[in-house]
Amino acid sequence: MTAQTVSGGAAGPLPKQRAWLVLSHRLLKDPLGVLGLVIVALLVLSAIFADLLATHDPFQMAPRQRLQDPSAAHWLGTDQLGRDVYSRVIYGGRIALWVSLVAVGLSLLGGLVLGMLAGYGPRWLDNTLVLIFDAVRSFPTIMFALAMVTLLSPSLGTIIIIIVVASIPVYGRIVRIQTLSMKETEFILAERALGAGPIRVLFSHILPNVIGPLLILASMEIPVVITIEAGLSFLGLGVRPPTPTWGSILQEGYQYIRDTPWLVIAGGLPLILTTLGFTFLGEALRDAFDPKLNRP
Amino acid sequence: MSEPLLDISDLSVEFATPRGQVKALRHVDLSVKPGRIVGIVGESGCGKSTLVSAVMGLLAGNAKMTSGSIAFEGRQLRDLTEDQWRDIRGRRLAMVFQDPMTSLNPVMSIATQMVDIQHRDPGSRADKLKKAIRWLAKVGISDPEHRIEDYPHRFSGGMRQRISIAMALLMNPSILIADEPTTALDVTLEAQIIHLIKQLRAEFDGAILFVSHNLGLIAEICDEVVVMYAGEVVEHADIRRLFHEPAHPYTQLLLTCDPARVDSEERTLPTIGGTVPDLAHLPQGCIFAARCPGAFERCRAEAPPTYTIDERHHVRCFLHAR
Amino acid sequence: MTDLLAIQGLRVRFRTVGFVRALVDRVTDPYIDAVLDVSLMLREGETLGLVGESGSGKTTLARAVVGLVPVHSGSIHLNGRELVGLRESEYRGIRRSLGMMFQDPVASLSPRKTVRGLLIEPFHIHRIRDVDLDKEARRLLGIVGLHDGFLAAYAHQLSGGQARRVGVARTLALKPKLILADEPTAGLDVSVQGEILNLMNELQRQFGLSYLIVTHNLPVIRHVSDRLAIMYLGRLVEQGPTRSVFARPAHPYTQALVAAVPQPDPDKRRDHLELQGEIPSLRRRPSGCEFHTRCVHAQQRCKVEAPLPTALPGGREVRCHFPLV
Repeated sequence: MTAQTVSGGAAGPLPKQRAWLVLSHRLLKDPLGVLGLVIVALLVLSAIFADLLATHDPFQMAPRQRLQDPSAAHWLGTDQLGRDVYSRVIYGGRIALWVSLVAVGLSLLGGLVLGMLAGYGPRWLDNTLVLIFDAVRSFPTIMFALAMVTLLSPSLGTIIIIIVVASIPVYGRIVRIQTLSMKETEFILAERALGAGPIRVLFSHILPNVIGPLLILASMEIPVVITIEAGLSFLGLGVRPPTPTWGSILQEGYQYIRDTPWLVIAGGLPLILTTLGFTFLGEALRDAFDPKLNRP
Repeated sequence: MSEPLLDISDLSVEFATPRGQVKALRHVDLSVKPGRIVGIVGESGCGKSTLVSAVMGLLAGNAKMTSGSIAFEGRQLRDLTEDQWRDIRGRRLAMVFQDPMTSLNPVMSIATQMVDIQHRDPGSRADKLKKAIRWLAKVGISDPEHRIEDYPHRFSGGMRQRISIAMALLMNPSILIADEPTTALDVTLEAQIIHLIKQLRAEFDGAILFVSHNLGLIAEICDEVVVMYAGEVVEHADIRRLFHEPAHPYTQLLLTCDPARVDSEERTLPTIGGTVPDLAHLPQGCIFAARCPGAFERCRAEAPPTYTIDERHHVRCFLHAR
Repeated sequence: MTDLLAIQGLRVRFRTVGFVRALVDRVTDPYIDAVLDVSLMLREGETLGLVGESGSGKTTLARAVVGLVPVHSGSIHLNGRELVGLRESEYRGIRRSLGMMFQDPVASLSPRKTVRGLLIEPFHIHRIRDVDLDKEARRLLGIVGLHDGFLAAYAHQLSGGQARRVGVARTLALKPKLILADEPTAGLDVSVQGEILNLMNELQRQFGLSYLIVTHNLPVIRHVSDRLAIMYLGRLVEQGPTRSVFARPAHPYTQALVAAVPQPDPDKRRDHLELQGEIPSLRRRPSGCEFHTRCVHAQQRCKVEAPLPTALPGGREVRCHFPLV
């Protein structure tokens, strides 16, 4: 049969495991990427195992031991109410991670769905959604945050809502653009030619191709969200005491900075490290995923 | 009498890639004399693009010239500084690219681009503009005095290619490299561009390197042909000799596969079985041995050198060993 | 021999200018006709070549048959059933009998799916449950001459030729009657384009398929088609058996096309240029016979009066006042 003249292909298709190996190999070659990975891993582990890692109950007050310097008993000293700062930082890390994951996760979901609808759906839907996106984006975030906090009272839930509403348009725009450009590509046409309906096209074909860069973007957003929470808490718009978030620790530390610098350091340093860690990791992931960087 | 304008000798180029060292060009010899149109024909992976990039000094960052030399007008190109390259590119060595839609700067008018190329020449802007207009007329752009002020997007693909040719030839380069100049065009436009090149030949005393995968075009316009396969030059001959008495099995098979040469009653088309070898893991003997119907023991063990059939016909094949 | 596909007076329009812009710029006609008054027939087991250059409308026509672009007027009958005016949901069932091969073989395969996923997808789409999907995937690969190892591959890992084979395998999944192939040899080296063409030929023999091949590659279509239809600016200017159309073109455009193809023989160089000028814009169609602006035989009548299709002996048809035959 004439079809037997098979072009075997010079290298042949790469099995799935090999592809992952290449990816992790590339990632590990980047020193900053490794550093980022380590930091993020530390954060995640400390969040999961907070109960084991904390030395004291973060809420336990001991007014007679207030504002002490770091010691064997209190690794990062105590705050103005005698609470162990180190334990508060550890639990603060758990909260930071949780808030950011929920906020980013919800924004991602919302942005994805709305963006795909805007990109693939009828023109009027697209125009409406874009109008909404632009309107929300042009509204100053701080004012919006203030308004929300006033309406809903400060809490982690409020912070999440603020972040989600402000972020959905950002993701939505990106997803929309990608969807629009993909709508006319040959493989989408091929799927439609086979008889695929819009749901299948969107979820089985457009989504997997859009989600990659979106996830990397989202991972870079996590430290931003953590910082926003810290900022809001610093301004007094965030969580109510006695919940230990890095931002509230910073805020309290700022008030007592003349007594001890350790509170500010304890609140600020984790923020800096987390931001750096996620940024390094995100950049390294982006480079590792990019097949066009033809490095050995 | 005539010194070669371009003398490529034993040129080898390797690329560093995740799959290993890709030996894209191996021991390429090519000599281009003034007034000749030299065709370079080959299929995917043959190395013709790499060769052109090497001559223009535009090889990618992960490329390395591992042997040989390229001499242009007597100068070695290998050791040129960027500044010296800028003196050569566009003026002595010009190129027309495959895609007319992206080879012109979209934010500059044609006039600006054509005058800009001449910036190293003395003379007033007005003179340079006049020269540009003359060339636009030569390549068949109507109403050139006005159209020259337009931006590229106002021209069709065919016209843009004509403009690219005008820009390339206006500096009277020694060598014009045309890299698949008509591949992106419809067949009737292609015929026009080829016709144009043939006409302009009279005005141009340099040489033309015509790179294509289309044997019909090569036959239409070239004086001599270099056949490349997987990074090597496998045959080099004058045009009539190549088409009527091809020496290398690859050339012979390639000619039989061309649908324009196959008997029109025939429904099935011949092919060359197998695939191009992986340039990162080269086979031991002749590069074509795996797909060659005439291969014998020696072919698989040793790589053949270039044999001379006569003064202008060379072939890299043991079947022609003397 | 029944007519598998019958197209009558087909017209496909595209809107080039948005509503607001049209108002602002005072554009009287914001539409262009990509396909205009096209009538052709394809019989079972036949291969029809649809030939034209850019702007000829050939790809649009193929896409209209598969329902990927909306049709303005005219009819498309597939096995007697009218396709124009069908709702999207009704069309989906029809798509089982229509296969489409796209021009860019790698780009037409969804990048995040394995070959296996791509091959079984048609079954999922049309909710065919009582088949062994793995077996089907293997069977389809076997038909196109690829071994099972390719099941786990992704589109970008395949060569152009392999990707094309996967594309063919995919269209065969639901046992279509008609396959539309858009430039099946685009991007393929001359030494391997025969593989895909011979495969298509073999499949035609085996499964009684009909092909509508859209291409601008004349040397190739000459070998693989039974009949040819030449398109210019959205209209059919000539159709007929391939052999006679090539041997004695009736329409001056066809003649120009045939003459423009370079021959791989240095003794057959052409010194004169058959066709000058460029294809007119679809926005400003020439009057009368739309080819008159470039036709060397054009006369006064051609500038004012549009020619109607005239039948010629031998099952041929031409749209010209002064056919060459």
